[in-house]
Amino acid sequence: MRGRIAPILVSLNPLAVRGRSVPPPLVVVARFLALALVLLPERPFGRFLPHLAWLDDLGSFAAFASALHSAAAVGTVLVLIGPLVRTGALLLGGAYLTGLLACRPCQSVAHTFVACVFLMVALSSRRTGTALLRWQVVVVYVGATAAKVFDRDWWDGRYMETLLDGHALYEWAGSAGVSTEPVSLVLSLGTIAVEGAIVVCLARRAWWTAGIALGVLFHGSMVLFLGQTFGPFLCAILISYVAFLRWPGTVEVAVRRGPAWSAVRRLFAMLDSDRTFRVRPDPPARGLVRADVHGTPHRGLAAVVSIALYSPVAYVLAAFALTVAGEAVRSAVLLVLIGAVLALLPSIRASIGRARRRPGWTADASSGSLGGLDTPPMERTTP
Amino acid sequence: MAVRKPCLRSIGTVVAIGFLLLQLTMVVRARFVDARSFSWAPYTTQVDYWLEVEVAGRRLSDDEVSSRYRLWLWGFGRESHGAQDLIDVIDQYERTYGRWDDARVRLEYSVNGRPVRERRWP
Repeated sequence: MRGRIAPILVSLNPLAVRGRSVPPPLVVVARFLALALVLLPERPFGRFLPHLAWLDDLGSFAAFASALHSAAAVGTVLVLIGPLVRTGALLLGGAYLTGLLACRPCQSVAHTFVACVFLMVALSSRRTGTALLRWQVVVVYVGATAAKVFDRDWWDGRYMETLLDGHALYEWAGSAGVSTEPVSLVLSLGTIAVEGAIVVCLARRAWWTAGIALGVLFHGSMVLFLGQTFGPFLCAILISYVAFLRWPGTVEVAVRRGPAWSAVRRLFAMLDSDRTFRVRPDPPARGLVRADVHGTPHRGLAAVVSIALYSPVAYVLAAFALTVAGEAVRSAVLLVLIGAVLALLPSIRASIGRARRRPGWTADASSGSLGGLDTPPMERTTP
Repeated sequence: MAVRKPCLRSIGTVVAIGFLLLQLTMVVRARFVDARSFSWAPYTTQVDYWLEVEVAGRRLSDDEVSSRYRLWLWGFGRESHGAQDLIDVIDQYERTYGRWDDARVRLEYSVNGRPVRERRWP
């Protein structure tokens, strides 16, 4: 009896991301986003002036809204708990997209992106790996860049001048008699350049890391500067970068042997549901912590970031920090993220260099393009 | 001889690729129309607007106007997608839900701080 129950309990564990119908990064993305929507809280829009006229014929306003909210609620449970992640993502994505199509004034890029992320997870498989979600992210940046490139108000700073009218910085400049136009122009052109660069980087495998770094810096600094998260957009865009991660089979972690060693080992044993981390003690002389991911050793801060990247529990904490913990905590988290990216720039540059020398190095199990989910990473030998 | 089974996964992939192509089509479409619906154009335009609505001879307050068109969702008075999206909302409401209201609507709007333009219904 106990033997039968144990696998069921394992499959219901929200922190277990392996062994699903989609690769671990997509499970992490779907669960983080579903949790963030619950915490924000967000739910699909009800019907009002639909884009598609026939949606107005589907029951009463209340029944329509109730159906979408129920679908989203069931989808959330399925995504967060149990093996039916794709079914849950389909319900959530379908409910959010239907809500957007059914409500013209509710137009929202943030909610549209949320719906698309869930739908891409639902349509993904072990065979497609994370590719569909990755291309979804690229398409978003292509659209955002195109919208700005073809708008003259973005080339002369007029848009930014209007957007930031009333911002504390601009008010200060106004009172000091300083022209804000050069700042607006730099911000406008900078935004076009950065978004264009993100498109190029995310479309080219060898530059993914640079694209993610740019994206974190861009969105993090924008949220800090403007003081708003654009609804669920911040959570959705940041978590979608996980689709570009190579999820390792195992991470070798060496922790300095000391008074805290046994506590650290117990912590890993408790939180590491997938047994991703192989923790061992290290002689005191060799630093506090080291992590070996895909054969690349990381030390200090880089090791901590590497461990967090592949720990589902870190994403749960991040979801709470970015949603309900308040603006101060959110800002602190974003500053830490930006700081981590800046601190790890040398590693990022190194990883790009390695990828240039070895094109196709990410033909690994987690991306699903080759092999099964839990097989070790494979490397193409093509020069 | 191995028989290939119809692969539902590949149907999902085809649907997903079609969905991505549809999004790119909407991005291209947005270059030729004024509306910005479903074109991945986040916060690319700032439209400041003022709305006057009279229903059966009575002028509605800002709150009533905001509720009438549900413009409170993103903040009444400023639209961050495009002027045409705002016009489409009012237009559709007056043609459908509000077609028996005998409403007179005057919209004044300014795109990115440019000179004010006006639109009236009917």
